[in-house]
Amino acid sequence: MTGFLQVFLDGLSLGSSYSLLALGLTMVFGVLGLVNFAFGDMIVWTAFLAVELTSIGLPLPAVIPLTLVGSVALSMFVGEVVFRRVGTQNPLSLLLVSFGLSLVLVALAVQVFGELALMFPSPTALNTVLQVDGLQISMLSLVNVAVAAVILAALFVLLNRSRLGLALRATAENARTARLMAVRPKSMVRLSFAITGVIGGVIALLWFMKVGTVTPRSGLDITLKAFIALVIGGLGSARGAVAGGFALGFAEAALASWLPVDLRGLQQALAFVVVVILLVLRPQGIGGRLLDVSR
Amino acid sequence: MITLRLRADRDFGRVPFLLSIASPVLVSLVVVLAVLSLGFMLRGQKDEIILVFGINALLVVALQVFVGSTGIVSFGHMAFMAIGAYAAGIVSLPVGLKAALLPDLPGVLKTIELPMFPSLVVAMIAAAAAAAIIGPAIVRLTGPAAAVVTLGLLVIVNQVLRHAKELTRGTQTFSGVPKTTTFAWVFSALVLAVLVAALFKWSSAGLKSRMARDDPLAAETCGVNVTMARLVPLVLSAALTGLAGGLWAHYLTAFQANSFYVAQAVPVIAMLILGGATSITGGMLGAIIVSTWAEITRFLEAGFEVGSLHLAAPRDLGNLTLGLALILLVTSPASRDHGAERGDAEPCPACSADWPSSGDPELEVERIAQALRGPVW
Repeated sequence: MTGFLQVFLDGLSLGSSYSLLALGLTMVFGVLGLVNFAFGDMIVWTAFLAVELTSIGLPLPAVIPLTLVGSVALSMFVGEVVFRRVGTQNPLSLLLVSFGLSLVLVALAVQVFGELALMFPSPTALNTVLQVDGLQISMLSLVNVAVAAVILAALFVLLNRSRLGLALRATAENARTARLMAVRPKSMVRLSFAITGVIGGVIALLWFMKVGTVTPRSGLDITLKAFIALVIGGLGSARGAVAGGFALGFAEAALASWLPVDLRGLQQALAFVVVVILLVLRPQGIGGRLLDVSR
Repeated sequence: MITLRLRADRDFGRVPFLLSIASPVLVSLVVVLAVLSLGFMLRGQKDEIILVFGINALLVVALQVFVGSTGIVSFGHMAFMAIGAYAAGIVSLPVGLKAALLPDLPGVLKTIELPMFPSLVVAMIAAAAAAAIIGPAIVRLTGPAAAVVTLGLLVIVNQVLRHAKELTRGTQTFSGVPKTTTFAWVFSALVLAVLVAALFKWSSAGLKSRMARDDPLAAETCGVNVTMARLVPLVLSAALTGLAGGLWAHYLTAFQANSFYVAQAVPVIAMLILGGATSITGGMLGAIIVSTWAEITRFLEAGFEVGSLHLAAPRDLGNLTLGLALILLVTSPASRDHGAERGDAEPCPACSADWPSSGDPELEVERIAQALRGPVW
């Protein structure tokens, strides 16, 4: 029973990170049709910002909001300068552009910060591990789950209970009709990049506090996780993204503790195998609806 | 009553068909001649570079078969290359070395030692078989989801190769493959691949594939099996990629699973997009441009002396410029209408004009409905 609970807790903590990742991707996908290959690399740049801010002597309470602001700025800048020029609903071009952007971001990061891993600021209070009845819970994973819950709730309210959210959903559904209702697609794209920026900033802090170090090439791993969660959940569905993230989190936690030792290294491969099987059975993902192919 | 008609991008009959195929094959022959005479002029100083260019060009042509006829961008073709390389390596490793390096090889693999040609055939078959197994999952998806799954394929193959210790030595370097890859092998493989790619592109199967790419609904309505129309180019493309992998194995002689990963896929994808994903000739052109540029940036990154100054370009200049080129290319106004397929001048095969078939091209459609997608949340 304890083993099962431990897996559940680990899965919950992993799953909340992955849900946030998938949500960050799906916000932009809904409005613009972009699956952002460079998402992980943007998060890495945000993490480097946090490292730099700490190294000039700022305390953590000042670093966190500044990092979030930086992340939003980066996300909106990239959206404005790179992705909006491709035009909406051209997923293939957008994907390729984000692939190019990923190359550029990694190359620039190598140039600016070097190939070596940098220590990420991580307060000791978060690294303590609580022991309850044989269960091990780190403070960081508690914070992780709590932050994810707050963001999910806030997003739910924003999307479902506000005029702004209604406008965003309308644009995702049908940009032309939304425009007739006086919703400017341009501002909705900006809004979605801003939301992604907030989520990216939060993940940058949580993810690298757990990992401990940042390198210019850490982004690929993050992007892969986000992609798996996104595809499991179904593209373009916020609920699906959350479900996909938690599904991936629980699957990884279960594999990590129940897989025979000599198969441990195959974790990520097995996660992808699950994705492949799932997609054969249900191509639209858990929460997604079938896209109409004619578009 | 709805009438559907198909149009091919070539006239019907044997002569136009041969003409369509002739142009990329001729271009490939010109490229091969140009490259070989360049190699001759340099008196063998840059042989390595020319050989690597040939294998890259082969990879691009192979990738074009899939991307050009399905519209799915594959980030995962390195997986097929890896499978081809390991397959060729395992069957051609000298028996003596096998006992030392791979003592746990199963069954007949332990005792065989194939020469170059059969080992390349094994490489092609292995890669094609892998594609046939994983393919049904990839081809059921479209657009970004399919691209993500190809990336997943690469991750799966990479991790499996690193764990199949009996076959691949796991994370250790796989070494001892006979170094038999020569100019003749690489460039005849390239010409052969171009021929196969062109034959497929203008064959009836290729036409169906491109129709399914442009308009899956219309294709399905015309009785094209969209799944098969995507699966066939995938398997073909995987076989050619496996061939490139086999040649690569016989060139490198020592490699590991991480020699075939995302970083290695970058230049090949850039070559394809630069040249135009719908064109075989364009692919070869892209290979020439990107390979040349890679040499220039390598030279710049190493630095050079100007008088007493040592000038060096920033590290990673190659990737930086490739990334910028991709962004500028796809966001440029000229390519916006065509999406990723720059230089895509060919008309959509699934429109107007006449399909010279016997019988009525007419079709009755009833009870058509369209489902609308709900809100994002």
